Amino acid sequence: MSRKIHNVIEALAKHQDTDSIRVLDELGTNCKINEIREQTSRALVRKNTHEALRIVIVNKGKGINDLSAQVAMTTINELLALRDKEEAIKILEDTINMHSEKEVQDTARSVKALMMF
Amino acid sequence: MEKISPLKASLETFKQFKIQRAEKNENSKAHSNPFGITFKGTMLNMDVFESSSKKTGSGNAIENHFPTMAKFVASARVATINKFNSIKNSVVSFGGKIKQDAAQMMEKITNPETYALLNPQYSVTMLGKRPVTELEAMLKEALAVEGV
Repeated sequence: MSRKIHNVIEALAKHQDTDSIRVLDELGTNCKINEIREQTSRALVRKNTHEALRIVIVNKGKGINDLSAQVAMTTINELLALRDKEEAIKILEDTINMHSEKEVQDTARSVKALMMF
Repeated sequence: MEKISPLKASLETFKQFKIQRAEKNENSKAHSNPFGITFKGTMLNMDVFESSSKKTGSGNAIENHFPTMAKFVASARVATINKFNSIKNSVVSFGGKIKQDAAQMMEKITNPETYALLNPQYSVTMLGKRPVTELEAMLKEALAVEGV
């Protein structure tokens, strides 16, 4: 990953405009390079907003449900490092109760257990 | 007839064995050949393995010490070869690192726009002040360059 991509993702992570979440979701989390997906997931968790957290928790193949163990673990670590975990736990509970995929539900349950610990 | 207990019988046998062993040891002490090699029944001494061309008492002192010196030189040569091999490996790895660093530096010089230090407008702080649409375009372009 080049320095330019790294800096742009970091800038989008710190950007106040909510449209930055859409850009990170469209370009970052769908990228085939693990490193970029990892940095994007981290950026979305740091935003700590409902929309950003939903992307990394609810979607299959993104964030905590990523096929790459490294990306998933980085996202979980970032969730655990959040100071205000209230929104993340709320989304995790909704995912456990209402998501159609059992695999996503199980992952959410595990992450929630870690966050409550 | 006296009845011999098994214990007493074994003690007597052991005494006989002890005496035989002592006699055998006395015979073996007669020679000092550690290899135990015989030549037509005669035990050979160690001295027979010494070189027949050995010169004693005559000739130059340097010539007399030459075989010993040769052994020392051979030993030192082997040690030096090992030492040189380890030095060679260190030099090769150091050279590889220098080459890698030089390649990275060249990449920085050829693409200065990607490094905040050389071009501060591409730092995270400066990029954060730009609109999202512009950042989106930049990210698309950078990803296209990466071949994504």
